[in-house]
Amino acid sequence: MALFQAAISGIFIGGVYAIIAVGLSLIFGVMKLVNFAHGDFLMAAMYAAYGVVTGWAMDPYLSMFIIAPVFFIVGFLFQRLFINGILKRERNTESPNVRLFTIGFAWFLSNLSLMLFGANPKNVMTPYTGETFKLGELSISKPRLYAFVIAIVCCILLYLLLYKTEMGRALRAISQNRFTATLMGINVKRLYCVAFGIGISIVAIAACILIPFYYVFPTLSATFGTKSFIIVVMGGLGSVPGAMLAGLLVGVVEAVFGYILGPTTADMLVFIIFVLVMLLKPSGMLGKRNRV
Amino acid sequence: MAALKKYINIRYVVLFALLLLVPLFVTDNYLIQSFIMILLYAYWASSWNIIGGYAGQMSIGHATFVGIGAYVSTVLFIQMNISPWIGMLIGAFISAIFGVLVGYPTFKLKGVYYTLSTMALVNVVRLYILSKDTVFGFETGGPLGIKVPWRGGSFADMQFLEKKYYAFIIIGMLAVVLLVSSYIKHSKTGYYLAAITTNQQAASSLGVDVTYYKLKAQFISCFFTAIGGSFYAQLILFLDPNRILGYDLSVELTVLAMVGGSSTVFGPVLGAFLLVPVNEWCRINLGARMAGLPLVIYGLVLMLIVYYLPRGLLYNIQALLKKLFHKKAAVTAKVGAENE
Repeated sequence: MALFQAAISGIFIGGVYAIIAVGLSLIFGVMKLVNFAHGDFLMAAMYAAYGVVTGWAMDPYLSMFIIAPVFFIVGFLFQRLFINGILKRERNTESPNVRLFTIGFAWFLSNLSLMLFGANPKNVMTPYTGETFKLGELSISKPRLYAFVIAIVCCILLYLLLYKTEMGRALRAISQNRFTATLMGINVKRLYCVAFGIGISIVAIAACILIPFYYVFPTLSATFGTKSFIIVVMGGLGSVPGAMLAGLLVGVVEAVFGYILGPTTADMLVFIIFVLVMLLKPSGMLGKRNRV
Repeated sequence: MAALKKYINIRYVVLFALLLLVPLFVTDNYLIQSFIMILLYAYWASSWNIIGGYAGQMSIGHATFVGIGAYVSTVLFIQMNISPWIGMLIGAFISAIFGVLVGYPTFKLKGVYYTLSTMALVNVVRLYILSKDTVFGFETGGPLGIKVPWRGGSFADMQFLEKKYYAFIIIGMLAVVLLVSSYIKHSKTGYYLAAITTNQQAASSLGVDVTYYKLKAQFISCFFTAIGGSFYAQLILFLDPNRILGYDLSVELTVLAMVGGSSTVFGPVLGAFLLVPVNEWCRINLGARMAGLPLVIYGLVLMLIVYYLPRGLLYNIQALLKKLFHKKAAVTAKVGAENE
């Protein structure tokens, strides 16, 4: 029974991993660039959510409607002002320089928050923190359940955006071949900014659903950022359903094996599974080549 | 001698002579410690450059090999009384073989996939050490790390009361790694690696054994990186697994080499000489007042360099020097022409 309980909580946290990874996956898929500051954007958004929730006494789930648009603009500008400038000089987007730049930005962001907010973890008290549903012997944490549901809904919305709208079609076209996309009259530079903006605003949503049950601290990205890279690659480059599946898998593996073998071994196991997936099927579990 | 001349630039000889003067005349312990750390980072960045720069495999997991070197020599030193001088070589061979074993499957991965696999590697090794108190029958202390005992300071134990001896050792190590680096760059292996980095498919179709040359570079790189790790263990006398097997250290090495100018002989050294002092200075002068500020500045410096000088500092400095000297030459020519 305890194992089943662990699996349930693994699925719930896996949903949150999935939504973080989907944001990264979108950026990765469209631009072929790995945003090493992804976890730090999450951390920044969580501090922002913390500020809104405690400062304005707002419901964390409601704060999403402020935080997400703000971070869309942040992501849009980050791409517009910095990354596009670097890309202009490079032949391909996979250039190590972009990676280095995001690494530098990650240092900047995590240490800036250390400077401003200190190293102590912060969490918010909400009416539902610590509340549970009883389901027979199972107890299901309310905020985790809400987080899971919102995360899955957001992933589905993103999927619909990519597959049912004109903009989604353009984004997928860029991910397949950006030169041909340019020839078809798609404004690649602008859509890069939009993709980065959407990716970061998804992370901001993840921050808002995490804050009711998870504390925020400056080095948060060591946990969430690293995991999101793993999930994106495991799921398949740029595949939204792949990232969801891999997110759930990582959540469950971590929780179940954490219960049996201890958390450190479980963490190690996640990395080992990641390397195995990459070696056996480099395109990822659900990945085709060039797909968003 | 003539063969050596090809790889030794007279400017380097002068530079190393100057480096040797520093520990002779600087007596302040803190200054000399910083000097040693700068050289050590230059050494590590140069070792990283052999696989990361020449072979184009942007690894962000090189701390794994630092850690292997440090742990092997220390464990042998404490538990079997083997001198670190021998332990460091054993560690280097173990690290190089380990590097080849993990390199064989991962070199098949392209671009960023390889980078992410090295990130996974450094995490797996760190978590493994953290989760076990003994590894292969040797006590490694798990999360507590290992405290290296002070045995009174003798050459055989690689422990010295005066810091300047550490400085001499690291200057020697840096000279060796630069010589090897220069040798590789101007040898057949170096040209093959450059071809692989530029266009792997083209190189492979022309008959370059891609995997073999990458593994060769990996072997050499991991070998030297581990020796730096053993040196670090004897210098600091404490092994913290979260530091020496950590992601942060790995990224630092990569950053130093790439900012200075990867796949050049002297670039990583330049990167270390310019960035490590910035970091040290910020840490000492600002860190006490405000936690986090030093790395905020460090991060900003990195971002600015990548944004404005994307080809590495060495390239820009060389270009600047060329411009200055050419201008001078042009002016002299003009004056000469007018005189006639």
